[in-house]
Amino acid sequence: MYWELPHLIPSVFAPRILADAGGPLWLLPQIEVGPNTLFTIGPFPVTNTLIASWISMIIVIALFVGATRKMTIIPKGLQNFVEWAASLLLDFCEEVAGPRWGRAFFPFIATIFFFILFANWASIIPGIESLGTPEPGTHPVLGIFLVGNDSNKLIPWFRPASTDLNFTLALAVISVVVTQIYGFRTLGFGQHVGKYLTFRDPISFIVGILEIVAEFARIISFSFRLFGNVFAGDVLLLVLGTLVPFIGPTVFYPLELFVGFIQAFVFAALTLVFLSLAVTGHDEEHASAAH
Amino acid sequence: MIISQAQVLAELPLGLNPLLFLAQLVNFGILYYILNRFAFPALRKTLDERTATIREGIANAEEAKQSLNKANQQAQGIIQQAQQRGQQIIADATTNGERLRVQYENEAKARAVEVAEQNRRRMAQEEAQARNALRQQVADLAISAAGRVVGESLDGPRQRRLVDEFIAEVE
Repeated sequence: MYWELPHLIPSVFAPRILADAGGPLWLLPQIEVGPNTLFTIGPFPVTNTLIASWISMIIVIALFVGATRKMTIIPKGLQNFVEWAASLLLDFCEEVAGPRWGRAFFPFIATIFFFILFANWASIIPGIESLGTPEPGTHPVLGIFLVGNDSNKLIPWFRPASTDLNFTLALAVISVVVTQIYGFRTLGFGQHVGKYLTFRDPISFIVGILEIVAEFARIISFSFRLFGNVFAGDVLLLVLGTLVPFIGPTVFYPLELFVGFIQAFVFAALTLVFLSLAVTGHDEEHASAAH
Repeated sequence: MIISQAQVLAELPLGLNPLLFLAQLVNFGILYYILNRFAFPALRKTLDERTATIREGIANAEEAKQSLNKANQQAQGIIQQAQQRGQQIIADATTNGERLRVQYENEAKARAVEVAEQNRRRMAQEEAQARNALRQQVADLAISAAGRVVGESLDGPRQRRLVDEFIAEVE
């Protein structure tokens, strides 16, 4: 195990290490958009974002299954917290989509929200992106620290899942596909397709085409919004950790917590809104818009 | 197999990789299945039970409140009835008392008059008896005195009748 120094050592220890190394204490981290492959299973690459994704899954599962394993009518402890969070989300679903559809959408929306939330918040866990495997040719200090010109030559074992476009794109595709499935199941094939292909007049036809384009654009907007925000926050923490070790990232942790929550909420809320629209007929949309 | 030199995925731009994309789809599917199978049903059941319990509690409290109001109204009615009944009893008792008082007063008056009359009659009777006795004694004395004066006995019925007529005339 090797540690990337800036994110683990308080700056008060820096001068002594600098004197021993005889050069720059550390460099700015290498920013890579794509995830790092740690090992492969056959043709399948296991990346640091995939491992972080599994960790996020385990946290969510442990949290919910643990809290709901022995539920009591008077909640306490973990059950109380999970119920509070889930009931807020359930109330939000029912407000947006109505009591019937809100309850139907809740499992899907809750899974999206909590999965993204913990995937986002992984960026503030100590060790994420600072524990890893050193690149060949590096010389760890004290056997475990990378300093000086070697300080950014680390392949992190963990990297927040939301900083991987594969993760955000997969969730965006799931969101859009599930929305379409609900649309077809609720409205029927003819009425749902009629939202996109209508030949009543040229304007409606063009609007329908734009709706199809919007569905694909939605995938891009969903995935890149989440990816961009979390990736930028992650880079911000890495750079600040290099410039002002220990103190810099700590100051921005609350902001990253907030951004992580907002991005998870935006993703879940938009999915919920599109689901609500999908189960609403075209005429009902116009009727409600008229009101 | 652990790769000694980790590789940055470069098959597609921005680190996109079809296998990783599929892996994330599967991850979400697994997470959704587990949560929807083991966590959310229990969560919704408990939330629904608690909602039902709270709703039932509120309904019971409302029902109890209504029962209390009803009982209060009934108690108020009973108190009013009791008060009316009490007032009625007092009024009846007053009326009866007055009637009895008048009745007993009248009876007492009548009895007093009757007793007084009886006494008066008895006194008159006793007076008459006393008069008769006195007359008898006076007659006896008169006859005795006259006998001594005349020197012969005046015991015969004719003499007594004369004496009585004399006394009657004196009276």
